[in-house]
Amino acid sequence: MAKMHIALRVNNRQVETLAEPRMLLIHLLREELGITGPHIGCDTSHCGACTVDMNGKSVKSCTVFAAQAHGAEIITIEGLAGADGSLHPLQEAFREHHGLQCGFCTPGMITRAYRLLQENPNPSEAEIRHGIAGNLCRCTGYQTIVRAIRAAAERLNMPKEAAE
Amino acid sequence: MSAEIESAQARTQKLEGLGTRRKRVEDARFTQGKGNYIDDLKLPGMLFGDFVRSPYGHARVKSINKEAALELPGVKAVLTADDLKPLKLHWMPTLAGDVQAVLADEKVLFQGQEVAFVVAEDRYIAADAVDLVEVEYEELPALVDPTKSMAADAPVLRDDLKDKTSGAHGPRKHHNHVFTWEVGDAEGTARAVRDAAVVAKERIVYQRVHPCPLETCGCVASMDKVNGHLTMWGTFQAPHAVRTVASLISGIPEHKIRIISPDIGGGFGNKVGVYPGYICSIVASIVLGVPVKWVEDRMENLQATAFARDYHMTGEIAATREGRITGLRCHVLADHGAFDTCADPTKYPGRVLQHLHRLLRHPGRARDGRRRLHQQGAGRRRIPLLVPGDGGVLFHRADDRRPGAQARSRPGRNPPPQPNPQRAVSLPIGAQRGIRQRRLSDCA
Amino acid sequence: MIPAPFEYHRPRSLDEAIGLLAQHGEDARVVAGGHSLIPMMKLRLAKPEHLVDLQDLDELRGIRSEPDAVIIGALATQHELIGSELLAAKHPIIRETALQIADPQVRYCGTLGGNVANGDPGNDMPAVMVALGATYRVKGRGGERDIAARDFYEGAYSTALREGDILVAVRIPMPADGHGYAYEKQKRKVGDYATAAAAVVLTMSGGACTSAAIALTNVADTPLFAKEAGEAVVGTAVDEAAISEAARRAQRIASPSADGRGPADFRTHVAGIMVRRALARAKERAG
Repeated sequence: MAKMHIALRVNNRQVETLAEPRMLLIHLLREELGITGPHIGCDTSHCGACTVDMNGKSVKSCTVFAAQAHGAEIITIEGLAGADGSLHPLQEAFREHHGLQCGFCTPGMITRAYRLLQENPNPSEAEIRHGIAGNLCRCTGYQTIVRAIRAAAERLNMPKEAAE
Repeated sequence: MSAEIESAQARTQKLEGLGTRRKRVEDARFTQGKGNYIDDLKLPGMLFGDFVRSPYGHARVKSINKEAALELPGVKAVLTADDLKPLKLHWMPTLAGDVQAVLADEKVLFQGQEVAFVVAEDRYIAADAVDLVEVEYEELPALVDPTKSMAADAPVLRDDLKDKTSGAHGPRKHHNHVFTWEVGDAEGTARAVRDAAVVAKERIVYQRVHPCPLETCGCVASMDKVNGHLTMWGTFQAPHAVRTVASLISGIPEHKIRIISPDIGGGFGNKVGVYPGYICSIVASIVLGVPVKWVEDRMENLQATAFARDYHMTGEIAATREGRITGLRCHVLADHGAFDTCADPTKYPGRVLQHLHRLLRHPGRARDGRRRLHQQGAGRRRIPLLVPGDGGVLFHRADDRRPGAQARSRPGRNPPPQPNPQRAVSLPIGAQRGIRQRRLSDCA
Repeated sequence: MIPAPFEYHRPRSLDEAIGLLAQHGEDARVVAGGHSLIPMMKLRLAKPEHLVDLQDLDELRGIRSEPDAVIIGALATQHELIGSELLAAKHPIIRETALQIADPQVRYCGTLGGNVANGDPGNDMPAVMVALGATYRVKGRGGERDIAARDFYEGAYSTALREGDILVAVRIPMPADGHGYAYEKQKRKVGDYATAAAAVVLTMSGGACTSAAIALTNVADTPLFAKEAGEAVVGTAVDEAAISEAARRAQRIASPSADGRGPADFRTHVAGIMVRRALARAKERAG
């Protein structure tokens, strides 16, 4: 099939490329754009390692065609740090609270947690667990992940002066 | 709100002693999406490999037609066992003293077994080409139940082994038998069981599980024909073993092979073995002169890579009326799959039983404990098995600190710390009986 | 993992979409949220040659009320259903069900239209729509028609949709105030399809049940409207005896397949329990 022109914004940068309609968004990101943070962990849209933030929603990029993402606004793990290089509180919290071991689920997990905290800035532990139900981790057993997200929520909810 | 990655100097200055909380070095890159996993690797000219796999559990391969696949633009090669034969690469040695088919040689022995390796410019073309390879199979009766694997009329699976009466771990008593391994005092245990006031017998199936790391297996092989150097990146828990096998089968000396294990997305034993994908990538890179990447998908990982457990166990505990154990007899039937690629670091087969035996051998108890452990591997339908040795719960704890002490099981009490913590052992029998369980850390 | 090739179309209007489906016939499929279709395409179990992406059709969006009904656009996502104050007030069973579908990411993309139209026996919304007595508005080359949810499902992946049809909206009759409701779903883990599930909508008056509708998910190749089970509680106080009879009648029509969720008789057993729990909770909630 002939390739299509796909234009979209990824991590605040306008990008364009040619891709077959059937190319999966995860492959567009990883192969065409060199954005290798999101990973592929399954074939059946279960694991969430490929999670990106698309048009303000947590989306499994393995279950979206690049063609569908034409015109979309996408944030990946690589786009969460500040423009000055400062880490997002989630990234700091995952480091601080050991919310990862092999790191393979981590980009998808943090990207999902980012949107979760937008939906619900002060989630309880149960709400966090339900909120990350679409992201599987084979290493940690989730305790430290939940702790990290809870810590990031607290940090984000602190008044600005106290945070600085 | 910035978090600097501290300079080495600053870190040294802040260095404190034992008990200090430290952050991991690698988390800095993992939390920013800057890990280096195999599929992140991209080399100039790199091609992508993908497998044609058998839908049948047991079948003869009558013919393989690659024409249509080779005609697809972007396809560079389609390898089959026939292509590997002149190089003697169609079989490779395993870590368990067996051999494993790299590509199916006249027969397939498990569903998902590799039959042909397609190499193309990208993974999309490779996937289309896989669908275009035509394989003609003659279906044979599949063996899926290890308890039936050693019946007199059980199908012959390994044609290459069917007349061999001995294998890597001892004599073979049936064409589907891998080995039998025994440890302990057979006669003494039989007597203990016969004379016991109480014998508890249980049959337990410990079902097959799969390590399923979130990242599947994969590699990039890059042969430099000018220098004669092979470089390979891969999901390797045992890179040295990969180098040895790669050298053995390719003929390239080890000092000209560089194996790199970059970041890995979990292993749990799944990434110890040497898989056909690694070998085919090496061959393809040698033949085509460019790097070749192979990364499997999840279903391939679950179907065709190393699994664990799959034990059919019978256990008998002989005891006095007061609950003092006087003997333990276990029989374990283990399905080792089509090719025995069991990865036993200590080179002891039947490691689960080795642990059990060691566990029960306390100085104070030697007079009382008798045990006979018998593991019989059989049923070669599927691929590799890993013998457990990792983690688990202790089912019985002997008080071994007083000379002449007799072993007791003490449900409900918290035993004092041991001078020689034992390696924890996985033993569901104890779990079933509700005997007190604790996990002891490995002191080694 | 890699889908077969296809041609992609993104129509700007419903008429354009219908035209594309008419032009390409059985070689075309629509895609909304894509979280049922795309996994099938990745396994190459579905290989449409033409994919018609509905995402630009704003006329298929929205949740609004009319005097005697709530109208939900086919492209409303599960996430939007959960967040809708209108639905929370008028049809709380929808939110309760949506929260039990898959996971947050899937809910952001998955649509009500996709969930009710693709005929997957594992989907949850069909039974809820059946219990609610909803109708589906369908448009195609031949015009527009309404199909009752209770008449819509014919078999696994087989519905009353004809080639070229697009489901555009779901119409749910305005319920009685203070109705009781529940969607009870047994599953192996959060996000799984149902081992068995039951949707119950009922009304009470003066301590007696005045209407009840019960429907079952994933215990046959279509959602099941358990008509006689519903009749068993009408006129009763929805007490233990009535609930037991309803559960029995529901189990009689269940014919689940044995799979990783359990043997068939186990799943039928679970269906009975789901009916019991759903009736008990619905009664409790009834004003």
